Amino acid sequence: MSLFSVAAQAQIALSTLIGTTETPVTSSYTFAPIGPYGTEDATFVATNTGGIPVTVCNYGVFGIGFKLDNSPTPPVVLAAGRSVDFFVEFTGGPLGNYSANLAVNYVTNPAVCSSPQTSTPPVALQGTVTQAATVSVAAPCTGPDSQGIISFGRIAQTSQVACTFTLANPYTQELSVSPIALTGAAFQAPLPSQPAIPAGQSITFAVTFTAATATTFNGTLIAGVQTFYLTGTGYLTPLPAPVLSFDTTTLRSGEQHTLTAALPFPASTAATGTITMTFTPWTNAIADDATVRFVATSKRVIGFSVAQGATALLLNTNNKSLDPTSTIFSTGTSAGTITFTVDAGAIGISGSAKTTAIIGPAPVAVTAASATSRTADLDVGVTGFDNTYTAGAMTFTFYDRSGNTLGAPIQADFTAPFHLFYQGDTGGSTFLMLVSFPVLGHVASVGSVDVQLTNAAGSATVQRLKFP
Amino acid sequence: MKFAFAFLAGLFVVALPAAAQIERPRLGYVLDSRGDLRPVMGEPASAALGDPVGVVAISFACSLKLCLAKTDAAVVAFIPDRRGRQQGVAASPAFVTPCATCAGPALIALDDPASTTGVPGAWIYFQTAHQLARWHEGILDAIDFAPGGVVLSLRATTGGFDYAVARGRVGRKAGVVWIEHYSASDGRITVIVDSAAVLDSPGATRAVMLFDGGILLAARDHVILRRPDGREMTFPLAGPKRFQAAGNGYVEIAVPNGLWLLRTDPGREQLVLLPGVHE
Repeated sequence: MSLFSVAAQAQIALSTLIGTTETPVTSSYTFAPIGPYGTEDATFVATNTGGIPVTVCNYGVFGIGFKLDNSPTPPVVLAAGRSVDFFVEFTGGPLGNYSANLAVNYVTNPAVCSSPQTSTPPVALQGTVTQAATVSVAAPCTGPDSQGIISFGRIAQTSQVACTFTLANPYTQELSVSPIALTGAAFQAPLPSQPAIPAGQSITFAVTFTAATATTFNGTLIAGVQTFYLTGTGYLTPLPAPVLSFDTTTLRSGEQHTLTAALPFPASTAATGTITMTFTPWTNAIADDATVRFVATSKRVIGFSVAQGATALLLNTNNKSLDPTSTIFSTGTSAGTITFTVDAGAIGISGSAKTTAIIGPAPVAVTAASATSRTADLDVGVTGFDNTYTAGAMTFTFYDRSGNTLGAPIQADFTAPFHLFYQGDTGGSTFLMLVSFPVLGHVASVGSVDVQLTNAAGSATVQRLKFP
Repeated sequence: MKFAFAFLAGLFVVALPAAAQIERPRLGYVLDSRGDLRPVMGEPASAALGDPVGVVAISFACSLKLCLAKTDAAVVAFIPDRRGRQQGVAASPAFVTPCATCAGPALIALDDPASTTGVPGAWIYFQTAHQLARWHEGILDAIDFAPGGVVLSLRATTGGFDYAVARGRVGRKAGVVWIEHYSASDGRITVIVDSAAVLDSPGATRAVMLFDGGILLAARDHVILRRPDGREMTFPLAGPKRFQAAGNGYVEIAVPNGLWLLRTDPGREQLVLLPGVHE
């Protein structure tokens, strides 16, 4: 095959791609200068300009300081008019000039790559490694890494962070670093006005990153022949831990209270979330008390929202209503700890998101009592709750119509039936207890009764419960 | 369980067994926002609503011995289960008394449960038809009763009933509310309290309820409980619009977006929010 025929049959044309602009490559391509051990990439495009498909068998890069980088693995079949991008990296090395040859080898269909191949005209690759400053950054920044990336890390939205950049001259003569420039509005610095760095000296300047919003910001620092990529991320500022408060300082069983919530200082951003109640019983006699809850919804969670700049959390926004009754919660009828946990979702909470309220053990609370008599029986009814779940021991003292004690007080122990009653129940400790006393004699002479109920927290007494 | 039980020492000494029967207390019944009558269980501040009993009512009143509910076209009576068990009563109510001509809400005043050993009777005033009736054991007897005005509440008494009636402008600024007594024996009406005594709390006429322990008055943002001796208690509550007898010592108060329960027992007064019907 003659040279003429090769040229006549050439179907692969090479070009470079910068951004979206393709530029034909004829006989050479010169990389931008780099500093020692820096890198510079170029994108080449191999286009099938013929009328039949070709198969690219390999991309030949021959020479020190250049290499093929992250390119499609041959063989690559290109239909007529189609192209393939491949990448060449000038990796350089010590100071000096570098060169290499680039060619693309291919066959036309139906030939395969084991057949004799055709080469594109060789392209002379040229690169220069020049003197460059050594760039370093101080904490909290990190880098530059092998890609030349300098990271400012993650900071709260609207906040900023500054890092000290150092450009050092490792050479024995003065080094001119020009240009020195920053791109990216999120990165600002008073750049050195004197780009010349004396031998063995360095210059420093502070670059400030400002995260105006919760997103990732990018920029570049150009220092002579070197380009460094700056990156930093802003994140939503967490809500300060809300202060939850109740309409009383002491919570007891059998009560309803109102929950309010406020931030210690204004929210830097609007937020929504939930406040969830959990209950941990004081005793292991029960697993839970389901009556500890927000009453209006019978649930243990309530939504909230807070506007940017506000301190008040608006509760119950899930229901699109600010009905104040929705913040009323029941303390239930069990001793234990109620924990309110604030969840602000992705924004998060800075500080403790939990507020606890202790419901202390208390003597049996009697909410109603009755005494009735039948022909030969006396009935005593007691309604109440025992938030310790330990009730059972009782004393009944009967009186006649004149208020005189009738015999000795009667001791009773109903611990077992109370245990049975509460077993496996999570509905709280409320109870209605009915005790019947069969009597031989004239029941009408019995005027009243004292009922003393004892639990782990003490005793409660219903005094002079009158029989009709 | 046995223990010595000594009464009237010197007259007799008896050793007898005693056992405790323990169950969940039922406070009464309420009419939820869907119109279902449901038992209220437990302790007021941590009450739980039981399952609907199967009566969809417009108005109701409950005592220890009787619940009377006014449905679309009937009066349904049932005996409350002391323990408030979740039994449906619609399938086996004590009495269902059809009443095709008494549409709309009704005011119901149950007789004092202690006054009878059987099923207590009740006075019912059908507010749309302006018709009074006496209910007893499933029978409705119409009674000629024309007090002249808007009847707001009934309270059964010995030998008849008391009622509150608004005369003149009725509504937001009802100006004249009287409390009068109707004698069942001869139909005579006697004024008990004139308007000035009822209305000395400004604006307190959105709803009125007479009950054994006094009078309840609803204002725009609070409820007033006035005892027979004139003592008053005020409970902050926005928008009370209806009172109904939930049970002995308990009154259901409906507000636009919820139900409250007021305990009216002297010395134990307490206003609590009732759970929503999500449970």
